[in-house]
Amino acid sequence: MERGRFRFLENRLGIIASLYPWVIDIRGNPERIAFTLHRITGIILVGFVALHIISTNTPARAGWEAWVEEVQRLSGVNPVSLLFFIAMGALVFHSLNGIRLLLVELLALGIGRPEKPKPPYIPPSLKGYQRTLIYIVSILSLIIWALMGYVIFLM
Amino acid sequence: MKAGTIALIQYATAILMVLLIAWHVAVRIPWLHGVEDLPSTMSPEIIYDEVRRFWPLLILLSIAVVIHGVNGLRGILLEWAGSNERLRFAINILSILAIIALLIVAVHTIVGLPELG
Repeated sequence: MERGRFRFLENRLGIIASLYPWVIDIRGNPERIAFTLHRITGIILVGFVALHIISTNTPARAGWEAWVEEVQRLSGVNPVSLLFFIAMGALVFHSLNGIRLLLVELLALGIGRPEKPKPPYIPPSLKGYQRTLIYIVSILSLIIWALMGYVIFLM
Repeated sequence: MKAGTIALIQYATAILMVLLIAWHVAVRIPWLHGVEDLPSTMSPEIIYDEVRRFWPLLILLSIAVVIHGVNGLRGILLEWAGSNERLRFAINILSILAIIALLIVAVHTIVGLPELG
């Protein structure tokens, strides 16, 4: 539905809808993009944590020789190290964005103070620095992820 | 358990994890161990020493990560389930079972760690 220069889409509920940033308009809405990325990285990390817990059980289950073989799979560029790199990217973004969420949701930092609504009706939360935090989180995530890539692939 | 209590647990585990995961990742930096690459930071000697010295932190990390992760996934699945009570019940039960199973494996990793040969 078009109303002036804004586009309002039906807010569909459900797991698929929650993962699609394009279900609602994301133009000028980095909070929605951060929310969707937080979910996607969270789902990736649940899978990674389950695999990580099972794979680190190797010494107890099969002995140290099996552990050494398992660790060697992380050497060089191969599917295992690539998946590990993706999981580390998810970990970095999810952690930094999680810290942002703790500041914004738990401590109510960066969302401004409540005020009387008057035209042009800009919510105080959009005038606070919480949005700047999203950009800081994104840039820091990319830098730390690149450093991790260096340690995983180039060392 | 009240939804508000579960949300508080989610926040508490998140705060714990920020500190513990930062430590868990930092100890894999090769320069800290005087080795050249990532796999060398996971040699049996280093891992054995780490588990023996820091096992309480590793247990705490496992508990925080498993509860936070499974509960987060449960939240997403409950949104999907809508008002289907059977599905909601199944998701809740499976989440509890997943938490118990993963924690058993995590504790076994520490308790069952073999001596270095």
